[in-house]
Amino acid sequence: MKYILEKKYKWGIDTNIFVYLLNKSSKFNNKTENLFDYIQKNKIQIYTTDLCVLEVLHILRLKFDIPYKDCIHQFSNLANLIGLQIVMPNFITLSNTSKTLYKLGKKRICYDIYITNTFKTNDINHIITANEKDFKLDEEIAIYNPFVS
Amino acid sequence: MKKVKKEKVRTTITLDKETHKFLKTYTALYGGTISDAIASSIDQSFIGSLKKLKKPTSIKDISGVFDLGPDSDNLPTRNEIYSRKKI
Repeated sequence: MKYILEKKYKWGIDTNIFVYLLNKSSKFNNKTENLFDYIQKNKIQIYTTDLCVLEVLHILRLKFDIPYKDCIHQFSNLANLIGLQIVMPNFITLSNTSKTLYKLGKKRICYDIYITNTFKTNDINHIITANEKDFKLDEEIAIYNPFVS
Repeated sequence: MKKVKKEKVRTTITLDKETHKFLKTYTALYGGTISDAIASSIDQSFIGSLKKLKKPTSIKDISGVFDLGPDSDNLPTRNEIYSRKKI
């Protein structure tokens, strides 16, 4: 598979991609492994948010009963291996999220918007995700879904 | 009441060169001594499971470390993650 991940951009990774990589039973596991292999070999800098990390741990623990100790251990191993950087929200993130929520009213849950804005306040406008709709609302965000050819 | 003296039990296990080398790296990374690592169990399967904890050197080493079973691609939405319902 040919990837369109250009090195000149900062790429943000969404929660689901990490879970697919760690999950042997996932039908997306092979493709995700190839994707990370490509990222590692081409030294593409990737980022995720603090909230995405917590979501990975939360899903593995609460949905699949994996002890937190194992989840944290394996996620740390992965982060170290690929040089994953974790970006944090700041006051602008909160302010922009509030403005967007004000505009949209009840329509959207705030966490998608908060994660999008956490990426954006850290100059990350390219996101790798399997759930395009979570980020589609923001026109400044370019989405790359590795499972759609 | 008669005080019963606790007997110290010593167990000797033989580690192959590779396991010893691994335990040395493991304890350097995670703290403790080789004896500590072994003391919690003298079962060789414990040492086998420790080997799984070794640092990955490629994506292949970390890909699929958990088997989450069938239908595991059906991940919860953010709405479900942050609700108090069981996911």
